[in-house]
Amino acid sequence: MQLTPAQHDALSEIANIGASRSAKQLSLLLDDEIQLSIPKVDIVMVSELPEAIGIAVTDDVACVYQDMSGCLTGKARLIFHTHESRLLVQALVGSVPVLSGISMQIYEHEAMKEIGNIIISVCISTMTDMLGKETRLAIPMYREGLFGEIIEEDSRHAGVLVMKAALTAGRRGISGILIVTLSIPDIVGLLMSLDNFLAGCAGQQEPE
Amino acid sequence: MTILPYHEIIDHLPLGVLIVDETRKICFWNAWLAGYTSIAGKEAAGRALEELFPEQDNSRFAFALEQVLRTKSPQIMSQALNRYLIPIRIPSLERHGVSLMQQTVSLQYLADDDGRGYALVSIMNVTENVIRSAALTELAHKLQHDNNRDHLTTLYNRRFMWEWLVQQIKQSSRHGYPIACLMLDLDNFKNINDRYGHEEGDLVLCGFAGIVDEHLRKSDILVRYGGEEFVVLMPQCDIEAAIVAAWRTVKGVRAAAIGSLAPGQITCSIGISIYDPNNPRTGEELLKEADKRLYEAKNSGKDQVVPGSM
Repeated sequence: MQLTPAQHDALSEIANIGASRSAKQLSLLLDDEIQLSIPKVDIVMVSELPEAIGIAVTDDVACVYQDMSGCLTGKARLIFHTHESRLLVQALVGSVPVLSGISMQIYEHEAMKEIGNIIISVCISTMTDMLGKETRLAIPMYREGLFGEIIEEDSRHAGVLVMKAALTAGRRGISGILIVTLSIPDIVGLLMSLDNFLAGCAGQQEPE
Repeated sequence: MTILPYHEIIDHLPLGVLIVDETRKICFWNAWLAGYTSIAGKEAAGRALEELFPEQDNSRFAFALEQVLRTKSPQIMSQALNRYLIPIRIPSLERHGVSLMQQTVSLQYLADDDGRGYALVSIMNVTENVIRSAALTELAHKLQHDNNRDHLTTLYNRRFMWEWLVQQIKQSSRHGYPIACLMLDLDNFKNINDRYGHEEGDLVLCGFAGIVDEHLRKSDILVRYGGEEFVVLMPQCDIEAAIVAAWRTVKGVRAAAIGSLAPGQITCSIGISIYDPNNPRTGEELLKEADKRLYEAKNSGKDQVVPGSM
């Protein structure tokens, strides 16, 4: 399943509108300049995901996810390599030493959940609003583990909308990936909405 | 089973619950909130949260509320990033710099039978957990510091050195820079201990550590390796720079009055080895070579530097 150049451009633009809205909120929340851009979007099958996003199934990752229901049913996940998520939290809330046997990271996870919640909800709502696909999200959850374990619950035949996110926080560059796993019919529906959106935009253009 | 009215149930919950309608006005305020804020439900009803607490910056809450009512999807506000939503002073718990109740907040969408939307805001008091976490963090910092330091000189100890060296060797191999290893030994320290006593010996060790430290860069680490032996590890430092630093240290120690001893009474010898990322070896091998060069310096008359080969 491949995006046409026009679909790719439109999706990139929509994703970047969402990213810039998220960044504005994160900057206000953290009282720091947060920049967020989505330099790459793509649609792949779940089985192709590790290669497409450059994360091996054996890599340790941290993930904030929200289940989606409504016009689009599936799961939206914001994924960071574990060390990148630590850098992000460190840049945002400072470092917490590891005390053997005692979980000191609960508040780090809470912070990650909130950041993920803002990025996922704003990006998804921007996309679904623009494409007229009313979608609701569930409460955000946080999980750490091997990437393979995290995506194993997805059907290998599902499609994934991949948005690579580049986030700059506290002068550190951190890259994360927003992936939205959807059934193939939902992906087809999303692309049709995208085509309608593009047709609508073309219709609004004034003739030369 | 008789079902109690929902507001009675919510009034008995050990958390704050408020409901905000589409015009951002409060339409429900539970007993928990009334008790902690001294604002009765009737007083809160029909007003926006920012009217009740005008001194608060509510922009994050306003955004979350807007998102919930518009997208019908939940938002959370963590304690880690927001501290609290409603300012509630808790003097009885004032510890570790926490004087206001710390809160985790979640906002969820509700709709009535007529399709009107509301945000259900629940506020959980997590102050005790935050204070406990602050105490544990403080303890962890202290344990981490104590675990990594030599009690007498407060320099890094061998445990820290090995952990640090393993990481630095990885970095060195990745980025292709050398690491210099200097092994230092106080000359004739046994005589000082025998002649002036252990108390003076301890003062000499501490004074020596201070003088060596003055000659190092911020990125170098100084370790008490054991007894009167010390190790300096210098990332991104080649053999020429290491020799210069070592001689500077030898001369600095020779010129200093240490403890109650006059300049010249305390000297040191230094052996140098270099970790070359193009010719990798283990940390143990690096230390072993520096120790061998130190032995040569001792055998050649002390108060000098013997470098190893690259």
